[in-house]
Amino acid sequence: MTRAAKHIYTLLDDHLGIYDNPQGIEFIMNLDDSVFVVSPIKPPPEPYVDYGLIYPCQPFNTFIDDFHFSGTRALQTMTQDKMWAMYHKGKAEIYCTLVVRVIMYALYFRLTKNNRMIVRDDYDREHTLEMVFTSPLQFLEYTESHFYQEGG
Amino acid sequence: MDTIKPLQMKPANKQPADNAIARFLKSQLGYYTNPFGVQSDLLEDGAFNMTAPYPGILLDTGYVMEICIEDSTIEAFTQLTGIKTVEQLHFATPQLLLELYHQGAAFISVLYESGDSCWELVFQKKDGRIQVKDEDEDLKWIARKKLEKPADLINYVTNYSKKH
Repeated sequence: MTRAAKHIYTLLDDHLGIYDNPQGIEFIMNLDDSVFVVSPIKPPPEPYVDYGLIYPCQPFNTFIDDFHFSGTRALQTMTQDKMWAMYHKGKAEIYCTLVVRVIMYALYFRLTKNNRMIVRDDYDREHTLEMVFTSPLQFLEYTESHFYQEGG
Repeated sequence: MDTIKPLQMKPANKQPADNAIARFLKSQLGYYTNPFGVQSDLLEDGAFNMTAPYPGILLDTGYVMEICIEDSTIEAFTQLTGIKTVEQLHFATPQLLLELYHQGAAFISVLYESGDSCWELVFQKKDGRIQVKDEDEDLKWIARKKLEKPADLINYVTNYSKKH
């Protein structure tokens, strides 16, 4: 463990595993020390949707390596720009979650190196899309159509 | 798990730099590791960090020894080292950081991990003496021993771990 990793671990641990930085980026460390990062995009395309960028759960050391954090200050000052950069690198995903009463249905979209888009569901089932979505409405419409298909 | 401590963040009073190194680092997601293993980081508030493993030593399992500059700015780093181009950054070596340590501008972090425990001490030269910091315990003192070689620092941390 490097100095940076140790200090970041301590920061997350001191915050009981959940640290929200002043820019609204949330870092969550689970009991097994895996970490995921969430950055909501406001406003969402519809009020019943949670929409944003997510760095999916990874072991602590992978998280440190992927973000190349040099210390706790890097977490404290991080903005959504870095999450977008991670998204374009294929390390973060766009999540689109339909939230209707007790129903929550989420899909996660990420880019690949050859500029294709892969969609993943909560069961880690993946498939490649025919096109790369860019607008929030495209993500929403796809998620809704997939939800209706799944729900019959 | 420890109690929640207040977040101690220095005010972001640094202006994000706009020079060749800053533009290069921004284009690299804010960080760059050169062929000598020296990592440069430009944070989003303009703070500049540089870290490298201590050169030319082989450490036992559990030990990490790094030379670091933290919470500086690219301008201050340029003034200190004369490095102002991206090409010069490619050739910055851990030995350069070691020189900065001897000048008191960089510090050495020695981390020792054993089982579930981890100790870290930070060494920095001040007025010809070596100041030691345990940042976890918010303690600092002046070393009474001569700490010249890397092995001196390793032994110092090992002994410290036995007492704490």
